[in-house]
Amino acid sequence: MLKPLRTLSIRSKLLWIVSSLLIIPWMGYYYVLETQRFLVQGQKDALLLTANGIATILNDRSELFNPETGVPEVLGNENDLYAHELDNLIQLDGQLEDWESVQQFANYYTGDESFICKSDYDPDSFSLKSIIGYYEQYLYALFEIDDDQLVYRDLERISLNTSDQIRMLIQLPDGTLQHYLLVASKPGRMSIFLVDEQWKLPLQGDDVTIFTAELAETERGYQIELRIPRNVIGFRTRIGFFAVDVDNSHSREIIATLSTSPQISGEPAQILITSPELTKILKGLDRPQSRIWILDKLQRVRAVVGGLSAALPPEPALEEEGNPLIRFIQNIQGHIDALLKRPPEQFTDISPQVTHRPDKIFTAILKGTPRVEERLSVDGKAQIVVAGYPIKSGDEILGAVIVEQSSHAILALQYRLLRSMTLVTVLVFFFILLALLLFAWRLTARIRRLYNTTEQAITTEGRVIEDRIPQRIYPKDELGDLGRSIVNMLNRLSGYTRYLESMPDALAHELNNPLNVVSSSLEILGTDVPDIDQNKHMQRARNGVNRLRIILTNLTEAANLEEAMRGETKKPVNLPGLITEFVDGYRTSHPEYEFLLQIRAAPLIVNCSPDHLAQMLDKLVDNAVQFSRSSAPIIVRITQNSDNAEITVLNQGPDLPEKISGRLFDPMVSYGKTDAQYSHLGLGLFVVRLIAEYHQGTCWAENRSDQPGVAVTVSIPLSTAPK
Amino acid sequence: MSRNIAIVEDDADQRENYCDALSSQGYTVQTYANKIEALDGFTKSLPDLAILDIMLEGEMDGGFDLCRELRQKSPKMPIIFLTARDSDIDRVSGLRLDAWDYITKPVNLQFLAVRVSSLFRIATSMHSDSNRPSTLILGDLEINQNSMSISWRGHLLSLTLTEFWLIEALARNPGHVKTYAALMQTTRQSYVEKNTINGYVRRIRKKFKEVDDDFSMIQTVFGVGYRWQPA
Repeated sequence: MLKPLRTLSIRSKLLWIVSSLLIIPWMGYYYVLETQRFLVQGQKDALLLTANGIATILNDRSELFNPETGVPEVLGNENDLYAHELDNLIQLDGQLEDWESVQQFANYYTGDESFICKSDYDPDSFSLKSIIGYYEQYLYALFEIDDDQLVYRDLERISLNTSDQIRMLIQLPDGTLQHYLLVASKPGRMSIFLVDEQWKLPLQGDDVTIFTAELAETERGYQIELRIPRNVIGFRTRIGFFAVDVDNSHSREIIATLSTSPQISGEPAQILITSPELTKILKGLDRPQSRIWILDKLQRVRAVVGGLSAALPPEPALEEEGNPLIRFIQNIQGHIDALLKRPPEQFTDISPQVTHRPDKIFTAILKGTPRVEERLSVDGKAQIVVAGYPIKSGDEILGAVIVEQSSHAILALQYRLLRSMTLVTVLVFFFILLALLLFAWRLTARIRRLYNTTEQAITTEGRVIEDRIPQRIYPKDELGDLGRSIVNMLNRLSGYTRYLESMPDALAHELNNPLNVVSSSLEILGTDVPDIDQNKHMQRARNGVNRLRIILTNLTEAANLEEAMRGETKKPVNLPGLITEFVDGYRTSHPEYEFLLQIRAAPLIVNCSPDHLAQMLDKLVDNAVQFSRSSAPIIVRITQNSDNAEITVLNQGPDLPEKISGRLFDPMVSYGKTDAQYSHLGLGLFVVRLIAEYHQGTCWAENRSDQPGVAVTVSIPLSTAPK
Repeated sequence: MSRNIAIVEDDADQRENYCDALSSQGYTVQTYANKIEALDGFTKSLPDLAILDIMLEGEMDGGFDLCRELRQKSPKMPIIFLTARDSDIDRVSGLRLDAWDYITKPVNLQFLAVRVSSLFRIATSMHSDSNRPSTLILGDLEINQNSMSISWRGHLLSLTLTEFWLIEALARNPGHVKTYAALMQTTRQSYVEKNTINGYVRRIRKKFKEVDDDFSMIQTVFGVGYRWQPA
């Protein structure tokens, strides 16, 4: 199982390890989920506590749930018209002093907001100010209208929509609409008719008497005071007012209509009677993020405040669009956004207008148990936490407080957290990846370099090339230690090789002195003792001494050669010409052998030292002769191989033994037959190698392919290309 | 009056053999085993000729030091280095110290006696200028047989005995190839390899080139030997 791992390079292994960093984002995600759960739990607790608090405040306020009051306390809808408590009775007399206490609550409607008009309408020419108040059993409304042309009702006309007028639309709880029209033919009491849907014709011949209205002219137009009995505007009855402007008393065309509702075509609004104390309590609870419902024990809605805002707090924007790093980050953010589910900006939930909340949770709460749970919004886009607490009066349960809050804020927070965490993780991941890759690259490069230098410092034959041993290895880490240890090893190996190579020379020196003693003693013996020269043992002793001398000379030859070549200067020589001279010489010095010279390319100019080349060829020829059948010719061949001149000496004889083929050119390596009378120190080919290397060349030996025998080749680079 | 020869050699057997061989030739021989003994002996009496080993009882260059001392005392004394050290560097160092010859071991005692007598002859001829000039003139080459000196185009070359013999052998028969075997005999050493001959010739050419850049009288006959270019 581990086998594939072993074949991986260090780089790949590090990459694998880096990929384990991907656990970090997973951990982060898990952590964020946990945080979300924790936050939602906290939200639930907080909401339940809020519900408890509100319920405690509302405990024992039975009037809130008393259906006898007739008018529910519902707050929070923008459309709603608020009736403010008046300090005094209002006289419908065109005098405004009695409105003083509620002047501050006046609403202004101009053409900018809610109107229907023709294109030539001048907004300054028509505007409405309204105040609604209540005192005891009556609601009072005051309309101050700025109108440059007051057109009264023309009693001659049947249709009523031909003068300046106030229209009042009442929607009964069952949805039926009643259209009332307030018109006047002169200042003072106004006529009020129940009219058709076109506000044109009266449905009844008589005026409506339950409402009373008084018109008075003012400097800027006119004002109307209206009184409505409170019992007419009952539970969930809605009401809307419209001011209609007619400016031309001849054409009597309606040129503008102002509404007290934001949407003129929209539903009429509720008239809400403010209870200052309760308003204060509930207003204090009004927050856009949470909605508070107050239900009675029949699960009917008594009050709603606040809202379920989905708006996310604004995100800090990244500046400097041009910065490539920021662009890169934004790019990543784009990818992350595609991955993560962004909470919706908007969602819709149960309208605050509903009158009844039959949800199961309320049933449970109204039985007296506080509860908290989560539900989805109506469109399923958002999670909403709902906490409820019963409102009690003594032991009796009056109703329930329900506090709702969307967990949208938490989701948004979670989203933002996830987003920034992912971004940071991605950046950190890339950074670490980059750092590790760099590190791995550096490490493997160093290992590779160490490997290469080690490989280069040792030839295929196992010889250490001293110049290629690195002098210093810098870093003081483990790899540096390894490198230094390898360098040490190489140096020791090189020292050992040097020792081995210099051993023949040292040996020769050591042997020289005793040999000299023997040789000189034999000489003296020869002169001192008469006739001893004829003694066969004397002769053999001299023979032995001579052989020893030859051996010693051979031993020192290689060492001397290296020194001699150091001071030598090379010169360009035509190799075939030179070799021809050499071979002519061999024909004289080795008359028992036949020499064949094969020149396959000429001229071949090499930079060389002719003396040493001669020495090298001597060794090659000696070697060839030594292992040749006496009758077989010895071939000296000169060829060109790209930019190298190659000298090959071929003989016929025994093949190379395989076990020493790689070390043939090392000192003290010899092959083939052994002749007791002839020295086999194996230094000849070592000398060949030294001379070849001195000429920046190489040498090798191989068995001949055509017949038994050996071909030894020396390759020397040409100094210039042949013409 | 017999001539005095000093032999400084740390190996007792070799020392005694040299001593025996040279004594039998009629020389008076003083032997020393190391530098201190030798210096001591030289203070008492200077020899007519000194044979020095280079390595002396652990002193790598003891022979060179002795040579330097002797040169200060007697600038014209023939000094022979007889050593197992066969490197070019040692040869050059030895000859730079004005040694008259540099022989490597093993040495043939007969040849050693020949060399010694030759050197004495040279020394004698140098002391008495009145000697008949036994000069051989071959073109630009001038060989003085008595002083064993050679001049090229009037410039006296500084040569060792072996070098003198080799040039003489080559120059006597211009155009004739002197084989390696013949040249080996000429060096009057016990055993000489081809490379040693090549080394001698290389050094000889160098010496000629020091006085004449265009010197090319000695030709290589590869694999066979050398010859002196006929005029």
